[in-house]
Amino acid sequence: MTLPQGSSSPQGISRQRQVELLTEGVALPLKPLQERHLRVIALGLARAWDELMIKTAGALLFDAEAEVNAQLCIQLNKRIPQDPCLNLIVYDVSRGEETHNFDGAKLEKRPDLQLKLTRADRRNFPLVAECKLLDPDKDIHLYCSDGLVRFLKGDYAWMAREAFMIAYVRDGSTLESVLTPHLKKYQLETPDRFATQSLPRPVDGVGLELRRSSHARGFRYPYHTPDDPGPIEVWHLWLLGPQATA
Amino acid sequence: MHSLLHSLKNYGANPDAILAFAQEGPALLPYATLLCTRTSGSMGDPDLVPLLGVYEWQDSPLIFLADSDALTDELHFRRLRRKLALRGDAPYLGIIHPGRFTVFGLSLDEKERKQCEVSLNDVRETPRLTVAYLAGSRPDAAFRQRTWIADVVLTLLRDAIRALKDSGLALEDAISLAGRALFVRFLGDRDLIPLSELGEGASGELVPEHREREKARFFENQARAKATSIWLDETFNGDLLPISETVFDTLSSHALKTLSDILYRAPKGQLYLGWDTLGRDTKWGFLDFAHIPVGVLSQAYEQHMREHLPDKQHVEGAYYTPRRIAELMVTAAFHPLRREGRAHLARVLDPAAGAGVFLLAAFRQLVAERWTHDGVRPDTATLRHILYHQLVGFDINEGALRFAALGLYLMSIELDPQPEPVSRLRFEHNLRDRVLFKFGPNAQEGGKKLSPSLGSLGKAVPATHAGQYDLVIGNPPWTTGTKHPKWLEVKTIVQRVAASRLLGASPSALLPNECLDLPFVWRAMEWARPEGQIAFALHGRLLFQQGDGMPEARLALFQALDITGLINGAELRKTKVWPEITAPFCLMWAKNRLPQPASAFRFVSPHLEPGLHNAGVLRIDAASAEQVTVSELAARPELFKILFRGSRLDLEILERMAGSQFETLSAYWGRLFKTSRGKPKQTGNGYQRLRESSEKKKGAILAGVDASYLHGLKELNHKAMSRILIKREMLEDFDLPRIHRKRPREIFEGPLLVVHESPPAANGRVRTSVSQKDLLYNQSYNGYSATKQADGGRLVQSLSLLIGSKPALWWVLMTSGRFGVEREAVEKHVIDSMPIVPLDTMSRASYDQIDALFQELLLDDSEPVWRKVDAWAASLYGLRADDLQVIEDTLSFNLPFTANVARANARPGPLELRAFGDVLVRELGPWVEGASERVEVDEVDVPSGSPWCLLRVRGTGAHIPPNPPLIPTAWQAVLQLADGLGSTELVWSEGPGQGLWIARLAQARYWSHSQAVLLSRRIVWEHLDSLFGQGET
Repeated sequence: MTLPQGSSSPQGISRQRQVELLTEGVALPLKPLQERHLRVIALGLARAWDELMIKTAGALLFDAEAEVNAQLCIQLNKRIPQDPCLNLIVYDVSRGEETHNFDGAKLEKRPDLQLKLTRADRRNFPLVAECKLLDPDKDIHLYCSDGLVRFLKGDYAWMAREAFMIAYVRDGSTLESVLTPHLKKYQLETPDRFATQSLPRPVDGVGLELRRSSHARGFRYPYHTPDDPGPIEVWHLWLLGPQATA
Repeated sequence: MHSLLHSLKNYGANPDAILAFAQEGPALLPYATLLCTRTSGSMGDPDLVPLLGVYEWQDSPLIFLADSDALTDELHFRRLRRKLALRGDAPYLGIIHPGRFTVFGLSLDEKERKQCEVSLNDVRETPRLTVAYLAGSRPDAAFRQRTWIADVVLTLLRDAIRALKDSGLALEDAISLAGRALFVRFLGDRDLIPLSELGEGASGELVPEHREREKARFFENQARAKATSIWLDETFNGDLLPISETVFDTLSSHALKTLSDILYRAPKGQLYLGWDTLGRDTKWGFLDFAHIPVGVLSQAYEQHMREHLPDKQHVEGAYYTPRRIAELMVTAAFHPLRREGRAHLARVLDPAAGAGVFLLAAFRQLVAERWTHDGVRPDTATLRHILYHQLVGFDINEGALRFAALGLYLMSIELDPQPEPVSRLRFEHNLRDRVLFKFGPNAQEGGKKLSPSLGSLGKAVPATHAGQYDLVIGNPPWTTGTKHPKWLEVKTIVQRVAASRLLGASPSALLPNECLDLPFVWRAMEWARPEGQIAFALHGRLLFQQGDGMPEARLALFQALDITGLINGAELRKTKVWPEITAPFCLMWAKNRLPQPASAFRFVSPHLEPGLHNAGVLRIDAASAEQVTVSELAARPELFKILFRGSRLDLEILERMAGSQFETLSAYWGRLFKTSRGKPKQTGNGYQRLRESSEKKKGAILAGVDASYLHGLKELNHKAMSRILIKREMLEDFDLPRIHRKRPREIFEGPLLVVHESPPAANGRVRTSVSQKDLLYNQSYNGYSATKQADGGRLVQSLSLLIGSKPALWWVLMTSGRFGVEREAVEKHVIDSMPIVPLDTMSRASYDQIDALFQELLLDDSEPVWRKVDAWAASLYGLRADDLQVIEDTLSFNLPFTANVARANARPGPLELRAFGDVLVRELGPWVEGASERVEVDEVDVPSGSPWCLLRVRGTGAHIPPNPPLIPTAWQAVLQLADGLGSTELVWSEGPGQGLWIARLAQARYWSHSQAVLLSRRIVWEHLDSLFGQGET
């Protein structure tokens, strides 16, 4: 086994660095979450949804978006202590908690769900999930222009590199048939209002209606160097009836 | 590097931490005096020739390293040891032989080599752990601190000042004369005294013996004392300690003898190696100020001020700061300046400079920064430029400023690569009003004493200082309640600063209790440039106090200033990290701007490490520290206390409890019994006996109040309180004629719950008892009377169970601003704010449960029964089984009682390590992929001398690469690495799928169930690849 002889290592830091940390703030954007963690979270969300569907006998499919969000939030919090994987990475889920945008100018930003993570640098910067109904009245346009776009202009998840978009699907839409063509269409425009860098691609091995897309972000951090937040990876989880989960 | 130094890696030394004296550079500036005398040719000190370098641990010197072959004999060894001990920094001298390394304790004693050799038996079988053992365990270092140089200088200085005062001098003159003599001694020992100017008929070259004799005669009579003093004033521009004009005409022979003693050196300038055998007057002969760092002098003076001028200090607040604390704060504050590229140009202000400990540390840091930037060692002119243009100190105290001047001059000389010829000693400018500013009363007007000054807190500081400093740093006074007649002026200024920072929002309570430290932080926001650095040592109340408007004041400060780091020193009080200080303290670093949207700061709470702390050393594990945001603090004012005495797991439980929106006891009591002036009726603190401060009402003959309205009541005593239901036959009648203040009769009426203010250490619970009848209690108890309430008996019984439960004590520990910080008493407002489940919301079954538990306690007031109560309380609060485990761990290791402290510091045994490993297996197990795979944890045996315990965590199974064979000595390398990091934990990956090494400090507090859960979280986030390979889980 070879160990470094220097005073620093990837797994630890020297005393000098320890002291230096006392005068350093948070480096933005935060380190990305790994795919394996996001998949556990997606599974947890989907299973909480399944439990709700069973509990309400599907009545949830007819409730308003805010009511569905509230129910999902409660169910997730019940689920966390019973799901040993989720329990180790998420300790609480809140709904509609107030946040602010990337420069602090907009104070009353309230993402639908905020998943509070146990990772040391993420405790105060939850994983954001924005939820939208998909039905004949609220279609993919609203999903993107009133949901997805919030991540691109720095209203939500501006300090992070990933977020969730959750759809409660009531019109039979699928990611492949609806979201991908929609984003592709705007990719042909200049500028692309959704700044899509990577169209939705499947997330394997979870058996969910789950894809991830990548989007450039147009804002700049006002007080950090470097000021570029980089792209955001959006995980789209579309929920319809009981999910067949792996 | 010398080949012998290379050989230290065999003893676990990190090569980067070895500073070789043969290689000049800014990192060696702290050793400037040593290097100067070691290398300066014919004037050099042959005793120091064997020195090869120094090994630093956590930026502090740990072991001076010497070549065994260069040591001539036992006497040489003893002289070398003495000279190194005079520095007062490293605790050890290591002698390197080819193939062998022996370590000796450094101390100002006269021990021979064999007597001071440090036993390395604990690591004899594993020499590679030697350095880790010395750094982490500090064998014998605590004992030797008793003869530490700062204490010795303080003692000698104290004795000299006392003797001068006894000779008839005023105290101020005594302090000044002693300081001047000490200054001359510093110069003399460094051969910087111009005998041609000062020696009596001693012009020209003198043989060394005559030179030494001349040096000792500078204060031998009134004329020479005066001449010496005049020379000092002329050379140092009148900056030195002030003395009365006529003092020299009145100096007695006794006083002159005392001053001459300070200059006393042994014949031929040799150091006496004996110590206890000679009288006080010759003890100065044991010291060689050529080796004593200047900071020692400033520290000793500040300590002296603390001892001898307590009243003055109470008003002016010249608290002393240990050099190490000052150096740590300066070092940390310079990091961001370096990132900006301005460290070498930085202007530094200490607005409460005292004797200049921070200014001295900053001076040396600036010189090092300049050296690094320019690539050449700063010369005399550059040093003077730094002194005159980059350092500023404010103070209210004339003597302190003069001492600061003395220190700065000496430091300037110490850092000078060529301090000779003596003509270089002359400084072109006075430091006063250029470097050092006095803001305080200057004189007495017409015999009428001027009103007390606010010093640098008042309007006297001109606006020209605003925005001028890259760094504002210091240790302002921590005093509270000074009742300063001009306090309104301070409030007005601070309100102005706050209004400008908080966009007009002007919190009413910015300065609770008239504390003197917080106004300095607010003023610093004006003095520092935008984006500049602010660093202060402050009283711990800023973090923990919950009453008197402190939560609002704390939040306002954190909303106005971008705090980047906080070290909580509450657990370090009463240790050698900050000797003599019993108050909790904190160290704060901030950037001078408003907190930004993503601002977060690190909150570091070092836990007690007796070996390190008794050696005055502080481990800072900022990497493992909690990151805290202002919004989090706003949501939970007790946040710092929770993170100090608990962990994130405790915080998560409290957050969940907060979500359940329990009613507080205070709100419940108010709802049941109404309120008066916002406070619930029928509850209060017990009566107080008459005391000196008892008020005598107008026209009254006697002080206090008539107590006859309480006569006829039985009075509670400590013995009766040991049972859950008070037995009246154990009580006596109350018959005192008068008491301090009137207490409402209704708070003594039964049915009554009584809560003891101090939880007894024996059972670790808040002690509660119930009385069904009226009962008098004193101020050591708080009472809750349910008189005239339906079912009042059951009400007080249910509360006695709840408040006496472990979850309740845990809640107190998490939220009290005092319990577990500086007191072992629980304030009533903490009990009042406890969450409770009202009796009227409980079911019949719950009533039955309460009755049954209470009855069981009546029969058997034992721990097993109380554990049933704990489970009942936990169910009321909706706590889960894993929550209870967290609570149990927190109480077990973090209660402030002696037994708990000992338990937390104890080395974990095999059972604890096994249990810790089992939790890892259980928590990480669900993350494996297939049924054939699993997580395995192996405990690794390490020598008892290792400050670490070690585990190896592996994933095994079909899809996981086979683990590499375990190299028998691999763990030694892991521990060596862990030692070099200064952390409390090392998680070392051997590569994807190859497993992890976990090294944690060998203290039980790091090996609890809760800690295993926290570690599991970290592994899952950061190291899953190491366990299971890079495949997906």
